[in-house]
Amino acid sequence: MVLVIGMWASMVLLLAGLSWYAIAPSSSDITLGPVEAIDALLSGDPIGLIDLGILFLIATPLLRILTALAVFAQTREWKFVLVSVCVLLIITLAVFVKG
Amino acid sequence: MLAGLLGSLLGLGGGIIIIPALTLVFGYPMQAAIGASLMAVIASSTGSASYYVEEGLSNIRLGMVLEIATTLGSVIGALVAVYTDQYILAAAFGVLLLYSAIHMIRRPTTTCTYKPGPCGPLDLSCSYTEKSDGEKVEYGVQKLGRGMFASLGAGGMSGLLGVGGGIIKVPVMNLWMGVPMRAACATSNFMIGVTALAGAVVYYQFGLVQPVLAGVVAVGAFFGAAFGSRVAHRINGEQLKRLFAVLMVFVAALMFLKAAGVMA
Repeated sequence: MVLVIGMWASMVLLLAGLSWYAIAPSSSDITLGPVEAIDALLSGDPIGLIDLGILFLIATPLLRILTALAVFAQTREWKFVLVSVCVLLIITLAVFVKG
Repeated sequence: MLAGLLGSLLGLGGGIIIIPALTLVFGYPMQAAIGASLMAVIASSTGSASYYVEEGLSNIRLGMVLEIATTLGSVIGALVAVYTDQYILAAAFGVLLLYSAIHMIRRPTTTCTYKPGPCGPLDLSCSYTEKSDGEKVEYGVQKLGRGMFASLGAGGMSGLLGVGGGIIKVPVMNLWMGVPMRAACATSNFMIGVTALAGAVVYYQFGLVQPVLAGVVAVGAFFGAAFGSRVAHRINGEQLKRLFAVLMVFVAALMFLKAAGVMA
């Protein structure tokens, strides 16, 4: 369910952003990050909306890990809680790798 | 959309189709194509992953354990790709296409099966019910170490070349670890989104995801995959696979020409 909701939310944002971009193209085509994407959206730049769609898309599998972690914790399968935490830590590591 | 459609018909992630299309037809650099492809891999795999989980086919415990290796490999692969010359990436992608073509036309090898039971410190045994005859299939998982090592390679390939890595994970789970084919495909699909996510985060952080390109590719792959999963049963998959294997060899040759600097 988490996957389906996240997926459709990202698709709606991407379709809206791409349609807006087709009508009023932006001069930039670079990723912005969550805060800057909202700023760009509020200032009328379609890239902000597309970037938010991409961030939703990236976040959807992440939500799946969090859901699995919660289920394992609820069923007291501590070894698999540890496994899920390890996966989350590796992804967090990737977030902090900057160009 | 075509990538998502063909991917679901042929049991491939869309990356195998998207990357040659973006680099050879539209002239995008390899890194930009890989960044967009990873978004498409997340988009096309997520919808089907939820279906397989609901059907009880995915071995979630096994998938989570192997994800430690695939996500680590994906981050390492993406970091290597960021600093690698795009001509070397094109050559590596050509090799991947040739391997995939051989894999598609090869006859399936006999699966070994294990009785349910613990595998080292973890019990990864699972079961599912066959829809066709209602039979309950129970299986155990063995050789986790080998599976983890291969998954590290599959993750590395995903981050390096922007593909799902199922072409390695499925045979490894099936032939080495004793997971029945249907469960191996479903578990691989369950893992692909998270594996691609780890690599995609690195590309995003390095500014190698072009929002418009990635958005168009992700939306197309999502709807293509959704349509493909509905028409898959009406199409002769074996004939399509053989035809596509020949096309992949041709595209591999083009990728090698690009790597050699003969093509733009």
